[in-house]
Amino acid sequence: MKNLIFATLVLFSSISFGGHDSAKGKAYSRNYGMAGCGLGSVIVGKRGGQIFASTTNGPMSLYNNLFGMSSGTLNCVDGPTDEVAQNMDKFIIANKAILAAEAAKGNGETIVALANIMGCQSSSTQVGQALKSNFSTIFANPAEHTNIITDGIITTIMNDKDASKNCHLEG
Amino acid sequence: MLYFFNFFFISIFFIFLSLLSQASEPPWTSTEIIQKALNQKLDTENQWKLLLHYKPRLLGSEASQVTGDHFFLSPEGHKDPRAELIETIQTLMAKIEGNPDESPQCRYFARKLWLSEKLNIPENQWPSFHCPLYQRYRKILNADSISFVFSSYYTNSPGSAFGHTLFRINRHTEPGLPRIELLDHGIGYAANTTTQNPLFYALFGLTGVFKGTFTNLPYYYKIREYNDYESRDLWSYDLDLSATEKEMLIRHLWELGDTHFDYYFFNQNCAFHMLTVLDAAAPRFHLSDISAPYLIPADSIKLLFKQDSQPPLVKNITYRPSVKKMFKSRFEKLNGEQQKIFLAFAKNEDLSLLLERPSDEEKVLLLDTAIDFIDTQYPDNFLSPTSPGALIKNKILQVRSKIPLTSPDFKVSTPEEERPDRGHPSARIGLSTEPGIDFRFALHDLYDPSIGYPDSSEIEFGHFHISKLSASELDLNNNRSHSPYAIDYFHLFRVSSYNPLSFFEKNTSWRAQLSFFRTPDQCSNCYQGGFTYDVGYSFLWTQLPVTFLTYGFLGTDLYSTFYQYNNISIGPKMGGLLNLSSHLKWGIEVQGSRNLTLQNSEFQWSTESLIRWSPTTNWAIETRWELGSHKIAPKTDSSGGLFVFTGYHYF
Repeated sequence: MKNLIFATLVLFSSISFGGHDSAKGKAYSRNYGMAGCGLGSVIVGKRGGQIFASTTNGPMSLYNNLFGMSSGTLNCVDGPTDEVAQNMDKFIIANKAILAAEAAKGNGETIVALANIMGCQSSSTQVGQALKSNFSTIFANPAEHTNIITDGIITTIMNDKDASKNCHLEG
Repeated sequence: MLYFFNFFFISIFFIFLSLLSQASEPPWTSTEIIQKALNQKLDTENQWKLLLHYKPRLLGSEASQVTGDHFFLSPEGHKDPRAELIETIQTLMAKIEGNPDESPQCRYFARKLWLSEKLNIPENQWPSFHCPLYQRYRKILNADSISFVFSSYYTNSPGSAFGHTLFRINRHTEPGLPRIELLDHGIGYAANTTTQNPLFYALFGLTGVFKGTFTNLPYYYKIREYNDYESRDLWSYDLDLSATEKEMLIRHLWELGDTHFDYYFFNQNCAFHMLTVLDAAAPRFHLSDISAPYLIPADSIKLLFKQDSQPPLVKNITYRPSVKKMFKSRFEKLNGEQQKIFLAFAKNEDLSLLLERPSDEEKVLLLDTAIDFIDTQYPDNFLSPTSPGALIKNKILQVRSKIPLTSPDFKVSTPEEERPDRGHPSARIGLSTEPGIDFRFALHDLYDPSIGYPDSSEIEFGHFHISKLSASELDLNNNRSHSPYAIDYFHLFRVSSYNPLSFFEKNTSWRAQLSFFRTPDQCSNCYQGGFTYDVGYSFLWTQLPVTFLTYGFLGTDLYSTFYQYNNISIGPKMGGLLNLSSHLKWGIEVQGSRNLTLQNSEFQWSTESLIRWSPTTNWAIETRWELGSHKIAPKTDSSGGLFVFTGYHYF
């Protein structure tokens, strides 16, 4: 995992000088889908009377609920190890609206939680500031795919020395 | 001398052999452990049965309420605790075959801990297994303590009308850092509904057709769903459990993870199984020893306080306001001028009005209020980033982000009078001077003491009134012998949602009920059954602590009798309710109704006024005056109406 993050950082820094466009798409590519992780799937599932279906095939699907009790999200794909980017993805997809509001204000509980996930809770104030200063870039388009928003957030924080000095982005 | 030493060592040797043969040293065999357990009668112990979720059944027997597969190791495990005990020990001592995550050895950690403690066998003496999923579960929970959470009443959905309860597993926080509730986990019990059809939903929910399961979600999902989308308050009751009890609770929830119960809306619902799980982990509280025909979520919280334990089971209460509360609080903190400006903005969402303020501080204050306002008006903005609400909100956020000031912390103080554990008990019985008896299974009407309940909604289940027939009524039926008492009305359910109009609240107010009424003008034993739906508007004048609610509805009654006609009536219903305090209410309602199915029918008018005073949360006294009511037969022919005095007890 350390190698992956490091390689991505190298790739990123060698491509870009300023601007966040290079953070889109390829930089933090994922090979898993987050289809069932959004807030909508949890609420709609309750409203629409659907039984949650496992998004994985194979033996895990026989034990839907066991898997759900262990991973903490029935619908979401979840791997056996906690990778920071994956955790951030899951967090952001469910908390996107609140995160945007707190980023605009510069502080809030959700930003502190995000900083915690990234291992930099002690610099959560700086993380909040970094998100606020770069708000219009990260959250330019509300319909933007969540992965792109997450990439934008990671990039912003990592580019900000004060915000990122305590973060542990390795897995 | 030599002989002595020989003798000495030989006897030591034999003493040592005899000690060995008593088999009181590890490692034990499965058979030895089973023998030990049966000798100690562990299969009859209360906690063993609680771990298996045994409850008394009809005809005096006991059986488990768990109906899913994968919970019992013995084919008779659901009714034979001894067989299940033996199978459990044998399984825990056996080797894993196949995928560990799918094997029972990686499931029964609560049973294992309990057996270890009871048999005095250290846990490391059992065979150990590598259980990746269980390890993952423990890791993501990272549990420090456990809280019992209540999300408040939500009249928009019948399943949520009485609130909901779940566990919050509080994760360990590094010293010096603030706690982040968002990263905790919520584990709760709920029905897996398989239909959206309201009739089947109700039928299945009442008859146990749905499966009920425990699920684990990051707590932020719960906050977003309850606090934000549904705008419900969250009340947390932090539990004081011993280290072992906490450990047992977490392990037992894992044991229940992949099985299910039959979900019964009234008595084996989310609240009930929170209590059965707590009992399995901490039997000293006896929380689920209830045989009531129903259990309301708020009742389960009150049970937490009924304990005489030292220290008390609940060590702390915290409050998390809904978005509506947040907005209301922010708006009320604005000064008069700012409120005017905000109302002007709210009319057409014109941001420029908020930005014309001289100072950044003021702009921030108004914009932060606007953000919460949009959340209350457009809850869909949380779900869909392209919804109109989300687009408006994004505009506000873009503007807000450009103002460099960070928002100050905003806290809503805990409204002690809304604490659900302080609400009056859910059942009520009354004796009145007609003479009559009033009984209600649950829950609350606007004249009951307001503490702990939402202030503008009512929910009633199973409310009936019995009174003595008047002399004139008995005369009419003197050739039929029947009881001098009759049921005057029976409300199967009655729901009201008054939404006082304000700048921010444009919804209608409504009331609905499914009832039977006696129709004394036909015969003293005739009934009509049906449905009433009132819709209209209400208004609230507030001069705290006094509030005055007024309302006007158009009511529709659809009733039918067994003997004669159908009753389709329409008419106005208007009234007012003065809350002099949370314990003293005085109200009046006038109803007019015209039966459309009758030729030349006229409006029938009835008036009712009542004053109810509750000196304590368990008792109330009421004075009621009725004139021309069609619900209760007039006991006298006096044109001055009827006065009735009633004493109520809540239990």
